[in-house]
Amino acid sequence: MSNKHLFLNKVTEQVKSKEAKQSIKLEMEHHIQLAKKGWIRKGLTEKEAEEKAINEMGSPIQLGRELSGIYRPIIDWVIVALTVSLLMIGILPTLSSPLLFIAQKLFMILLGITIVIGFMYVDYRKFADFGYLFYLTGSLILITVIFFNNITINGMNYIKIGPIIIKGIMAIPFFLLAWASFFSKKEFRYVSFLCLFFFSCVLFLFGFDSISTVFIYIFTVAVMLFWSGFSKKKVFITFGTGTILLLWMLFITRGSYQLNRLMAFIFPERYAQEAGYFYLYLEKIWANLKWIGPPDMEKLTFINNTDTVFLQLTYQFGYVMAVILVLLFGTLILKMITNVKKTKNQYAKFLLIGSITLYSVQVIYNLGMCMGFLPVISLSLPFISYGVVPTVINALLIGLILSVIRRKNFQ
Amino acid sequence: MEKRLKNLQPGLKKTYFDHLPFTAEHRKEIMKKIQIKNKEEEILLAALQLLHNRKTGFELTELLRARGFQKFENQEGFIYTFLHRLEQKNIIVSEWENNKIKYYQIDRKGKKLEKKLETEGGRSKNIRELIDWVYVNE
Repeated sequence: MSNKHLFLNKVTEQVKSKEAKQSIKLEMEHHIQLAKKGWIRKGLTEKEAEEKAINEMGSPIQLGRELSGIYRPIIDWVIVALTVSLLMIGILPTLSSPLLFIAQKLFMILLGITIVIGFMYVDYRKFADFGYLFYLTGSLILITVIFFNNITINGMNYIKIGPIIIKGIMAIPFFLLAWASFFSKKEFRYVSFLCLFFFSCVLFLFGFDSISTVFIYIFTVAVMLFWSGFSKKKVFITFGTGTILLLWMLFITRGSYQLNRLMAFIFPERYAQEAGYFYLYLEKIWANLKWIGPPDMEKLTFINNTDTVFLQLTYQFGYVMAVILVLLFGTLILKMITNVKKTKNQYAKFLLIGSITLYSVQVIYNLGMCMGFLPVISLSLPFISYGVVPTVINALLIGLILSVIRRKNFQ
Repeated sequence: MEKRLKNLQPGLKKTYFDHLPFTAEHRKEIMKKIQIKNKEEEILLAALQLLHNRKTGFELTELLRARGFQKFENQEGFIYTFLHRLEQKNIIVSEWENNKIKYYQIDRKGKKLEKKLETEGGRSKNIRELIDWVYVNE
């Protein structure tokens, strides 16, 4: 091995990232090459010139130490701590339940933390070129649910094979990875976007998953589209026609039912006997809350509904709990958003935007719904609500975000 | 308290500081250090000015040398820790040509910094911190 390569290897020895290693070597080799040429012109032999050029670079050990510092992987401990705290708070609503329930929730917390930490170490850049593969996987999950579903709960179709349940919502992370890859490619055409998006929406609508799944999917892609390279005119035309089309599709498929629910949200008194009951009940609860501690230990009638877990926690522990939860979620979301601007790599950027939107829209909608600002749909509160699938999906999103942040120094 | 400490200063002068004279040599040493520090701002400013047009690390080293800065003399490799740190702070941007040669160019944030350096030098705390971080940690 030549002196030059010995020098370059020494310099990059302590740098952890392979890509950073390669690019530093290439850059410094170019420098040494040019310096060497200069010395040859001044009359040194080739060997002497190289020796001289290498010596002029300075101490390889010190250089290596500094470079390893520059390209050091980063762990965002604030995001990790907030995620773990939220997962832990999720145990509170189950405390009055049977032991098995608590044990299951504990298992979910551990699973969540494992996925978050595990995914942080996965190099997201490996996914960058497999957009179509992820799109295909997501579509296959939905198609399987449409054609081979064997159980229906609350109007939603699932596949149940032994203990494993396959739901339409599981397709969402795959579509997220696909869209991040598509949007980051310069050669991605607007027409391809329209076709791919339309097809996926049709699958989601026919998958007869809950309306909230379709909603968070479309919302996430819309936000990613807003940041994409397409012209703003195209983006807004898509938003406009998309909204009209969506409302029309909703109307022809489940029109009267959805309309009824919406009217109940706007005029709860008129629908007090049916869908409006919940909103009236909500108002009553918020009106009777105290700052700390329970007004009385009366159990909420919809206590079994894990989607309203925010309401239950507030009811049990007072307004303070509501404030704590909003602060924790708010800080987590803001902390994640601050990283978007610092991200230069396009794929990483779309991955961040998509993951943050997907996570935040659930949090914000759920809190808004529990406070009575938004109509009720079946959407759980990330990390606090009960349920393996949402926990896994949301842990995966946070893990992806941490994976991007970890490598932001060497994109 | 006051009374007990009254004799501390003259006492120290007689005992401890007796062996530690502050000579002209010391003064010169410190002045030199301060000058080097001042120079660091000048180098940063010069580098930012030069990077209005894209340049490789090698070209920048040569041009800084031509301007009489000796900071990277015999430690040319450290031009890259300097550049990479500036890049991480979004002060400059880099691009690869044919995946072979890496070029650097000033960015919007860098132009702001350049203006600030031109008008007020390195006095502000932010710039001081940046300079301390961007250069070799000796």
